[in-house]
Amino acid sequence: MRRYGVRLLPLMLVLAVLPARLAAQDTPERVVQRYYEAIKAGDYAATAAMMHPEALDQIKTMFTSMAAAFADQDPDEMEQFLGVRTAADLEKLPAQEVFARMLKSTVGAQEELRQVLATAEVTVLGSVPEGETSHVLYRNKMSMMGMEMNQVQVASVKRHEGQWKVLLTADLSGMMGALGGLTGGGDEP
Amino acid sequence: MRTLIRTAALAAALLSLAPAAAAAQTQTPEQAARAYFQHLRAGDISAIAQAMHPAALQSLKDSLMPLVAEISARHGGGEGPMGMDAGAMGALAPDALYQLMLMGLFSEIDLQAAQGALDIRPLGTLPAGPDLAHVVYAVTLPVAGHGVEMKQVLTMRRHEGAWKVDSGTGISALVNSGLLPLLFSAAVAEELGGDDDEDEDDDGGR
Repeated sequence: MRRYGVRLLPLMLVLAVLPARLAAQDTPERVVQRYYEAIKAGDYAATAAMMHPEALDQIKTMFTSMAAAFADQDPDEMEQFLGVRTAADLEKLPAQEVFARMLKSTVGAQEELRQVLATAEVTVLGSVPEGETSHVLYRNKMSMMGMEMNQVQVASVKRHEGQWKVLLTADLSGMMGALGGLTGGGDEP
Repeated sequence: MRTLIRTAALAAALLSLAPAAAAAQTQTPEQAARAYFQHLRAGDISAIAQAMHPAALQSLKDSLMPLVAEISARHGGGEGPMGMDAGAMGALAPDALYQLMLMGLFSEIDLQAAQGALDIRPLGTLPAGPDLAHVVYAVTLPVAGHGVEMKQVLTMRRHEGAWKVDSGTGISALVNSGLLPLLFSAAVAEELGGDDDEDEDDDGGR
């Protein structure tokens, strides 16, 4: 019996490590395809889990800055949007949770938008590498307000702890700097 | 009658502005994209239209004309968008109509500041067959004195040996042709600059 245990040990180890290895072998294309499948399915926790920590931090910083500027004026709206009433409460939330809540209260709360996304056809075309980042191109076909949209778009992914994670399409830190005049914060140009 | 004369004058002006030089046949998709971005930066409407794939411009025209007719009908069949009636606009060639639209767009929104300061950096190309390629590029926009970087795609399709910008079908062609970052930049600048005015309007309207 002990011999069987010894023989089975390597197999058990392989099985234990397998999911991690499979994830590490994920291609940028597969990750982006799964990312949009999660959005289409309304699984915002899974969507947030696929985001790169850099991107999540940018989102959290943006909302924390906005909350610091506006939460006192309308805590009810803040609670409706992110489930917290103050900037301090928002600061305590993990960045991944902030992003998931943001998706839920924006995309998830709008039936029309959810329907548009649910019927969207996302076809990954390939990727263009740039250093440790990979830019994945995909064709997005959707129908919105009676108009057919057919666009090639790009989503960038970057490795984090062996896995490809999705980046933001636009640099929010620059945008926050630009919006500094509105929030009363932001850095100098 | 006055509209017709204006249309004819505009068409003649647009045709005379069209560059005689054909696009280089040996360009790669990325080089053609770079040239296109230079036209965009310079605000060279004629060169921008020349760089577009004819099928994309035709599709844009086909999608726009019903809207133009509707707007024109709302005005009792008189002037439609940009002071022209639907018939006059329909008579324009797709590239002339596109130039007219760009002229209207560029005059409506203050794009000049954004155009000159645009920093566009092609990152690579994804070929999709012998006549189709997607160029990924990073564009840094000047927004209220800050640089905001966005990643975008410009699809290039070969036409008569030269790579042309294929902005796709329908009205989405307008935003697929590299104009989206410019419009975004101008819209944010307008939002930041026009905040006081907007408040006044809001107060006045209530």
